[in-house]
Amino acid sequence: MNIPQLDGLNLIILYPLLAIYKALVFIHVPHPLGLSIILLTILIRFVLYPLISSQIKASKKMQDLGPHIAEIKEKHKGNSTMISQETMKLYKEHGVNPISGCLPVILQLPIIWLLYSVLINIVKAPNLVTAEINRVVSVDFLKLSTSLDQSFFFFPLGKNPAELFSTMGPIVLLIPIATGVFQFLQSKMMFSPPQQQNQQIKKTDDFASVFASQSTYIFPIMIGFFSYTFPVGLSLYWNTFTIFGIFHQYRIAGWGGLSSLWKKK
Amino acid sequence: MSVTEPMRKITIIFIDLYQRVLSYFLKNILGVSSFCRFRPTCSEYTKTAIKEKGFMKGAYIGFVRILKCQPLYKGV
Repeated sequence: MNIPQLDGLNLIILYPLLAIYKALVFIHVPHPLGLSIILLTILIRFVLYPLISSQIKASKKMQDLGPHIAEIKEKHKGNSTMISQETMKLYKEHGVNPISGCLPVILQLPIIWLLYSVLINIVKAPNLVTAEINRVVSVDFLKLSTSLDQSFFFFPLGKNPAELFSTMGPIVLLIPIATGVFQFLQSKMMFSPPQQQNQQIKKTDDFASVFASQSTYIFPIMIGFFSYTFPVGLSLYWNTFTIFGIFHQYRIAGWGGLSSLWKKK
Repeated sequence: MSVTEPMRKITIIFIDLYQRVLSYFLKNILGVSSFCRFRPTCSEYTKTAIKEKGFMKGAYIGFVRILKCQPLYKGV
């Protein structure tokens, strides 16, 4: 059950990860595997940067236009062609360019998935992983001569906080808490303040509107719980991913809904 | 009743679930708060199509719509 599998599509991620790892080992940097995970995640986010930037820009403008769109919907109730025509006209007037669409953004999903599946395998029993890597990798200088070093500061990357709780005590709870908090910050920045939205959106569906206003809390809490039972190496990846996302969001759209936390009226 | 009638109902339930819950999770994972260039959104459009034209035709119409959501398609 715990046999690592790293062949097939996983190689797309495994090769760059090993290249970074070997480079770090070569210059004697401590905690090479953990740092490789961080560096590879950052590298991938940089590659995806332009794809997501245009989308964040368009999202922000669309969110700012939310009240106008609600107006249009109210005015042309039931006439969906009219609604979409007027909406498009509004976008054009305000220079929103939703030209890219969602597929470029969704391209992220397979990459997120591949990173997940490589990392969940690479933090398994070190000698098994090392053997598996040397089996699937065909480039000689990327093969491992010594066993993969899975320590990262105080944490073994292959263990999850639930397992570490008995030996390390409550300090391991910092991992799920940090993961949840970062996710919350990003979520809060992305979605505009709920009180603003609720005025505009008619409460046609109570569950949907309650969920919409609570969603900034639900997902981060879920992610926090997940990270309690996932290997530390994966939390390292996900947090790097989220923190980069927070910076990205900030650079393009500012603090967004997060500013409502300190601008309480 | 057509053979695809249960399919139609199940798909509509799934689209509802996606619209109310899963789309929020997806947006959180992808780090983008809204990504629809079309109005109505693809999920809403597909739901209506499946409701009106049945599962096979509706799903096809929705699928084609989603494929248009990329930079190479210039229309609105």
